[in-house]
Amino acid sequence: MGRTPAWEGAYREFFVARQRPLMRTAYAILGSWPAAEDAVQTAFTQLYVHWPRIQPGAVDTYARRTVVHTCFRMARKQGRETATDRLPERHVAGPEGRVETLDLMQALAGLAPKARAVVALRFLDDLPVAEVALVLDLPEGTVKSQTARALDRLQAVLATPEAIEGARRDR
Amino acid sequence: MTVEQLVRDQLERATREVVGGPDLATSIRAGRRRRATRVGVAAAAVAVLGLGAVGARALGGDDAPAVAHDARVADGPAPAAPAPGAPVDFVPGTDVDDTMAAVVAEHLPTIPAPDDVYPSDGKTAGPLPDSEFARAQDWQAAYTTDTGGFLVMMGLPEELGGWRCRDCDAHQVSSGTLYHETYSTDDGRTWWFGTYFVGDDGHFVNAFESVQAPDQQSAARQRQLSDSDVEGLVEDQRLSFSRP
Repeated sequence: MGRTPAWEGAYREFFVARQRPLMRTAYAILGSWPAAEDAVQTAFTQLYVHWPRIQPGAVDTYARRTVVHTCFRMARKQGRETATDRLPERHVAGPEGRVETLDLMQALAGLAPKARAVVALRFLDDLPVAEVALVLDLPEGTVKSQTARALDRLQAVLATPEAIEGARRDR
Repeated sequence: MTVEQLVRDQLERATREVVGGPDLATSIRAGRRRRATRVGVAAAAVAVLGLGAVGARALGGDDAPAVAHDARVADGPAPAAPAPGAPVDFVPGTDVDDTMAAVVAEHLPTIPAPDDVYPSDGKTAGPLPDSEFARAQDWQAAYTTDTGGFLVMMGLPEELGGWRCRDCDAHQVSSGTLYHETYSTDDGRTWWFGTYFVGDDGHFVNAFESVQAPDQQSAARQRQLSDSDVEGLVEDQRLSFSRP
């Protein structure tokens, strides 16, 4: 039976504290909870392998990078198996004027995985541009332009007057 | 409401109820196994090459030691971990690691970035300390694939000293000899597909793809890499180095 490494307690604490937010990020990128679970499980295994070599202050960024890049790999694999890059259908008002529930996830599916990650990191994880650039290995300018482009595309699908009103009613 | 607010609001609601999640015990078990396997792969490679590593093939099992080569970093400042998906300088002060990773990526674009690239020698199962790269007899690049692992090892002539694989399928190529070998761990659960190149000058490049499978046929079906792709890699003349 092997010894338990001294650092394993810190890993366990990190897992408990961070698995939920990382699941949310992965779901925003992959659009599927089972796929998100696979990605985060894989990422936590990789995190365990490298844990002793991670600088103490960099664990969160490292974990986020691992999850995001695992998601990219899974998205590439999915892309080879099924075509997923078609634009989502636009939602319209229902028969009684009620706006049907808008599906942001379907709208996100129309974006490339990297653009979905930019949206998730900026607007779900609330990271500043510099941190998103670090996670995605992109220049800050590229993060800004990808954010703007992603929002433009999402706006085309989501931000109809009916949609905004619907979102207000859902609050 | 701006589109930015709308996206924030809807992302928050779409992800509020998290369904499922990773399992801590599974992560730790798989992580321990993979840490042990990394050492096991390196040691198995050394054992296959007749360099005397003891018990190497038994290291990949569930009862393998939980602490592998990286135990040393618990006693001092940890080197930076490789960033996933990004070009990483695994070993500062040399570009052997970068070259090795780049050549592998060129030949095998379907595998992910390496988990680690490190110097080693014939007596060490796993990495030498990064700072001792100048005395490396071989360099190794370790990868995690969807079905198991992949290890590439390139070494100096002095490490093998004219070694020839007697139990392998062998054939001559333009600048050396190419060998193929398939073997399993003692419990028969992990299969190794070895492709070895020994140059006429004695330098060598070996690649090992490992697959978790109950038998050799299943393992062969699950392989991610073809023999021809790996042959092209191990014969690549850029996979060599000299002492600084």
